[in-house]
Amino acid sequence: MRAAVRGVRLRGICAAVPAHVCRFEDELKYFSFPEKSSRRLARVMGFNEHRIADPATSPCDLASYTLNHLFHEGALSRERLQSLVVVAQKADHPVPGNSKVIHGQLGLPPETFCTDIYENCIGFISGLFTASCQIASGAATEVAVVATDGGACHANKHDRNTYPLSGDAAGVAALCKSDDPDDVLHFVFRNDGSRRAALLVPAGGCRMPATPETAKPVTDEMGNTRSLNDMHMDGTAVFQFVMESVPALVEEACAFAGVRPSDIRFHLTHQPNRFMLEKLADLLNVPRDMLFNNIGEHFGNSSAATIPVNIAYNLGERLLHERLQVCLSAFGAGLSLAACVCRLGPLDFCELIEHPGGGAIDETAMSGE
Amino acid sequence: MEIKEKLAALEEIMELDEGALAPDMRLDEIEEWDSLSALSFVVLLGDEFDRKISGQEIRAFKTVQDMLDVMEPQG
Repeated sequence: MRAAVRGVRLRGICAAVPAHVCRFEDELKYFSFPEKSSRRLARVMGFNEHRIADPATSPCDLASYTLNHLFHEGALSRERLQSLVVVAQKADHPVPGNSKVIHGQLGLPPETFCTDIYENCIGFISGLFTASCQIASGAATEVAVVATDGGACHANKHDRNTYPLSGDAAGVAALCKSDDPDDVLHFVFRNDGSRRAALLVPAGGCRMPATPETAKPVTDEMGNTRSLNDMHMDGTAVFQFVMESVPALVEEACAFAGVRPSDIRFHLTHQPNRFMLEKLADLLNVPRDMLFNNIGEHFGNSSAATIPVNIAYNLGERLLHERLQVCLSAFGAGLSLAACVCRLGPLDFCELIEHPGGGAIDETAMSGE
Repeated sequence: MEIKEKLAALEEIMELDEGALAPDMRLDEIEEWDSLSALSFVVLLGDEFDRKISGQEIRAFKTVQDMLDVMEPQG
């Protein structure tokens, strides 16, 4: 699908990561490989530090903390916010959806529309598309896209393929109605469900409910250990998919937006690992500093939340003052692809904050009473 | 590409000294043959030979010779 959504402005971004830092150095012991091999992999992939929420802190806690911070700062208001579009691959409860939990935690008004998108790596861009359509339809003037994810929730600690780069984070983007004719979001989405086995958590859904049997750890021929409840990634297949399809996607999105690829100031991508992103920058024929690849090594891959973390961490200051032509792109589970070409900034807010841990903050304090 | 060049490329991937590899060596006895070497091999095949290979094919490799055999342009 391709869509040009007019009259919508992305007016602010805020992302939250758990304050507690996990270090690869301390995790070497979990892997059955020679230390030299793990260190070599770490150097190339960018394993260094990542942020994983403590067991008391859920995806909704991270999201509510971020939104609450914005309410306190006056960057968002409960009354003006008409819709919450929440994207996550992990839910606080099977019923009700995360958006309802967040609505309750924050004491939002009954008029607020709340919906959930169950998606992974491309989820933030899907959320932007859904939210911007709500504004373009005239139903809302201000919508928050909330991507809150546990990259870590599906990874087995003993799987060197997935765990060292997994992370938890929440990212909020505030969208509002705009009269500026330049405020157009150009989206392109692609899917190849036939390749879905390349990124798969086999058990835990209706097809294969989680049981003690599915939780049993199995060690594969490469020496990684995971159970059917954990993420299974065919790294080669995912890598090839990204290299084959993302450059064409970006080219198509630029052409659709009427923008020359050389006009793109930054490629703000999903953040799987440094190796893949360096190769992607080379294939796109852009300098590596135009396509940031440092989120994995500082915070981990938080699935749908990586793009807001990327923007807040790398361009937080700059986007408060400048207007930049950018291309957002994401790729992953599905296998799916998404791109959004737009002009970003100057934003009303763009910051990265830390969640102190320990779960939800007192709900009365949150609702500001 | 000559066999010597191919071996040198594989040694570079595995960060081994020059001359460390021979065609009859078993991969499971080479400590440096790991998931990163496998991924680097995928990149090498794409860049140098315009050739695609699956993770499954790579996991079936037994010896260095198996790697050398696929280091040809796709027929």
